[in-house]
Amino acid sequence: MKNLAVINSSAPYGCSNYRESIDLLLANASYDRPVALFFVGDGLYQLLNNQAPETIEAKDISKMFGLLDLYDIEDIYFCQQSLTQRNLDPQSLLVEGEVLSPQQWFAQLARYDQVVNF
Amino acid sequence: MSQSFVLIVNSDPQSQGAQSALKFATALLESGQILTQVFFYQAGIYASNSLTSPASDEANLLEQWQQLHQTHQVELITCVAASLRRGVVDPELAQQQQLTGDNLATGFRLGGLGEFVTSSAKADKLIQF
Repeated sequence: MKNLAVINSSAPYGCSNYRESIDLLLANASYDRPVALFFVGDGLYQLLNNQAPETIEAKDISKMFGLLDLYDIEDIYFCQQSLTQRNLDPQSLLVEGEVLSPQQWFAQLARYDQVVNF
Repeated sequence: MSQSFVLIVNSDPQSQGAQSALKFATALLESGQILTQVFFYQAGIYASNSLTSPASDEANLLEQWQQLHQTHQVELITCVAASLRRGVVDPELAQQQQLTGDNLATGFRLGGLGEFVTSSAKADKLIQF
């Protein structure tokens, strides 16, 4: 079975990427396919604490990411450069992930047979 | 040696990505590669809406996909979850959801993400458009 990396690179709410990305990720995990989740660029904004999606009738992201544990999705990676550019502290995000330098990022991504980007 | 491919089409038919997917699929088949499945996801599912009539001087993406399906028996799967949100349904689903009509184009089949998982997990390459 080929493993799969899902990259979240777009900010939440503006379009449906954040929802349909996790749908696809969880579907793959539910078939016991090895998967990983990468966050880069504005995709990191999906992981901010204290979001109030109900005020714009959007789905609650923190609940969606709460499912990652349930599906045993542990391979989660953050782009260090994107974090720095956005002044984000990886400790204060909704999920735990490994911070990767650009070089490590590409090395890690290369371990996956297939990649989809949302 | 030929390799097996799965394509996932997320691009809206009005964007170049959707046209590129078709071009890529055609090129794959012409060069003797194996195209196991084309999975339409997100706004890509609009490609399977039979109720479209592009202007006469514009490419008819739907007809081209149907032609590819007819010639090469390529599996064209429209994601059912993505379609329900966006309004592309087959007769069975229309009845089940009590909708006034159906519009899934001939040649396409509604399928779950599971079908994408099982086919892409076996494919040599997955290409996203």
